[in-house]
Amino acid sequence: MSVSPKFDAIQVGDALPPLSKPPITETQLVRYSGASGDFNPIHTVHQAGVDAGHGGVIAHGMLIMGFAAQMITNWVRPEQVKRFGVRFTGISRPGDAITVRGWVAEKWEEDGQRLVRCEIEAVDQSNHRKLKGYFVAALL
Amino acid sequence: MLDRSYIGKKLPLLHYHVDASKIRELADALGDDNPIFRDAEAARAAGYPDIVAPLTFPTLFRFWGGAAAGVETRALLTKMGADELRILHGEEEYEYFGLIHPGDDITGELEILDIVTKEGRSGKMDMVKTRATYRNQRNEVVVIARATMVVRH
Repeated sequence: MSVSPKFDAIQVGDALPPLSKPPITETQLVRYSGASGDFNPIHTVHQAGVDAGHGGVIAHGMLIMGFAAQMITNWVRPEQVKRFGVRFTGISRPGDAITVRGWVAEKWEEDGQRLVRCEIEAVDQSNHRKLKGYFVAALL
Repeated sequence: MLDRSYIGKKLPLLHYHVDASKIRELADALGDDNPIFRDAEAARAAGYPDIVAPLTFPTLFRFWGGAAAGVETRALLTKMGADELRILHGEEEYEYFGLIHPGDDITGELEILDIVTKEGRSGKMDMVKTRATYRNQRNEVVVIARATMVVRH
């Protein structure tokens, strides 16, 4: 894990270190179903994905949020994260290579805590957005 | 059309025992190689008593813990009248108050806050807004999860 960023050194507008994931595989969706307990067949059974109108299996939104989480905790420690929220804006499929990026949107002090709010988004190899969100972290 | 009587209804509490192997399994499925999620020694070297759960681990409370209590997302939405193939995840938000470690016994209180019908690009859909409050064995709230599930008509 890298050294946690310092509040005084952070400027609004600063980009966070991005995270580029390898392409999603069908096996990964099976593993993620087993890990998370989300066994909706639209994520693992091709015909269910077709019947649902998606043309095949689709990734769990929470898989993509998990990628975003990885980007965040590559930057700060988990206990520094106070809030983390996303809106899913697009469907991901096997073969999609997701990149998560973010930037500092706001910094302030409150109740003795030095906080930053960062905007984040996840996009695929064609720059189609999969989620948009934010997190608030306490920095030293 | 989902059963609106579930709004504000008291649902059974869910329980989830946190196991180190499930934390590692989630980190593996995500491909997150951060050692604090998988290696107790590395976690201790980083100042933690044991490995730490990743930020999206509370999703296991809802699915694995919820399955036993009958409030797992898909089961609950199906009971309310949804077709499982027409469920999508709209939004998820976590508010964190403490870390989650192996051995924690989590109790979750799930509430259905609202159901609103919206007209989307692909037709009408119901947006089901939920809040889950998760406490550990010391009765400390560790995380509050707010979610919007989308059920296409």
